[in-house]
Amino acid sequence: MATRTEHKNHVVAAVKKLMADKKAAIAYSKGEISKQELDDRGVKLGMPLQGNI
Amino acid sequence: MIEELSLECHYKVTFNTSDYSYGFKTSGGAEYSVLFVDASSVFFNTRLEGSYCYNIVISKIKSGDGLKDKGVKETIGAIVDHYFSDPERILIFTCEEEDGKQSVRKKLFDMWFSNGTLSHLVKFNEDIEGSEATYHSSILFHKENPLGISEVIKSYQETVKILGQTK
Repeated sequence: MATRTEHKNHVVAAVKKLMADKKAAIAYSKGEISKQELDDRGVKLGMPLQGNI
Repeated sequence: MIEELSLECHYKVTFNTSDYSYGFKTSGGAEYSVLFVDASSVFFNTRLEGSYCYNIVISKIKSGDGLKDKGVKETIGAIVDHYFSDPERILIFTCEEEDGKQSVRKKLFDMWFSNGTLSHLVKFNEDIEGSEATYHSSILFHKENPLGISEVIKSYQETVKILGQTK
């Protein structure tokens, strides 16, 4: 079980990354950066579809 | 590869299998892209840890005629409904305030998801009190999420509370 400080630090880091990833995703969708650059920034896009398309 | 989806909505929705993005064009000439960015690590040390959690990113990549278009709301609703074909999935939405348009974005998001066809989903809003600003955020999840409505909300609130403690 993570300590309170570890929990806080992890969540703060995760949210900062989330915000950065969102900006990168917007830039990617507008063609301002490539998919490779998106991948290099560690942005993970999801998700595989389930069910019928 | 770009595939056309058979979603029940106003505009034809395409799906890009290389980046899992949805796209559609409006009759007014606007083009939208909807991406889902992995956000699973946000709910660390909560009941939602390890769940399929994504941040929905909706971008208008080309402007149209600027007229109000109800078809956009309906189409985004259909895409979100498609996402929740797996009721275990979670969506979060955040509004950035760098350009001062955070409240406008929140209003737009609330409008998009005040959709009668999404009554099987739960939307819960919570402001994140950061050290420098307040961020609007929302969580969207299926009523049949195996964790249960109250547990999902509780995990979300725990996370938001943690962020508020960073002041």
